[in-house]
Amino acid sequence: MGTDRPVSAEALEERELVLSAQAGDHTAFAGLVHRHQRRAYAVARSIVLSHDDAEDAVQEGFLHAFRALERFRPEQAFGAWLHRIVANAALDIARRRKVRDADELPESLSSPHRDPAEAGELRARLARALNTLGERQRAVIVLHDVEGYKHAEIGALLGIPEGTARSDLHHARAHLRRQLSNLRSEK
Amino acid sequence: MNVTRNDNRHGPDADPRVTDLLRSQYAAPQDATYWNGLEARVMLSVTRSIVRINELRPAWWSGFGEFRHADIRPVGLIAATIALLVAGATFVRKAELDANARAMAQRAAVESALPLPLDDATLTSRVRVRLPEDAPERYLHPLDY
Repeated sequence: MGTDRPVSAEALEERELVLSAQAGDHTAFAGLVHRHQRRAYAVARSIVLSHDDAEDAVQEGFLHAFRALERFRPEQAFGAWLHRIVANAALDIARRRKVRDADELPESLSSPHRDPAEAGELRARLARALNTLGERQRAVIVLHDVEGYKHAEIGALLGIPEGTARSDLHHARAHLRRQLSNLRSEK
Repeated sequence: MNVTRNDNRHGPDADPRVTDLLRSQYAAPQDATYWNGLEARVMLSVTRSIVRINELRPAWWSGFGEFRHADIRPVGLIAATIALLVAGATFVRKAELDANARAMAQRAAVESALPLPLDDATLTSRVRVRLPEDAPERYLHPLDY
């Protein structure tokens, strides 16, 4: 033994919310939704191609979690459990989605580049390149490079070994660099 | 999961420009009203799911709740009375059948405990051994033939 780690007030509060939600308190479950929805969205968004699908995955994930709440053991990390459920819901939606239209990029996103024409072209090219990546590689690169997850955490989320996550990241980066370097050489 | 930001987003094989582009494309909404709305939609779907489950598993008496409106309340009262009478009659009939079954079982138990009348009797006729059809019966019971 002797591995007891200090428990933060936030973790204790979350544990209370989980126990209350398990006892049937919907307000407590709403508190858990409030705490975890942003991270859940990020996980879902890394797997599916559109904002709408990510939102659907979040809703489905929370619904599955609510139904399975009595089977959750409070000594576990609720976030890890929930994000795994959301990731599975997102993977399910991604598999069901037949049509993948690269042109459905949200126009309202701000571009970090100075030249709007080049940025627009680059974004469209990036979207096409992302579509040619496998679901898993796309999820890995987004979770790592955008959300800042570590390889082990990505492996736990997607149900793959840490080494596979590392390898997927390397291949995804190389693929995107190759696809986008064509655009720069054309300029 | 306690997410710790990795420090490899701009590692040796990462293209900072692609990373920035990815971040802009996958950026989560920043508006607080969006998140309040999403939370409300999630809780609405949870509530709907609970209602749906309850509708799928109605209690047998829940049908009488449909009769609570004023215009069909008399019909509801009549239906409830009939249901009560049927339930009472069924209960009484079942009690009678149970009583009969108990009486028959007691009688059978008592009768089976009496000594059989043939226990002490001497059998005068022989019991014929059942033989196959091709057996030479006359060799076994020659006096019968």
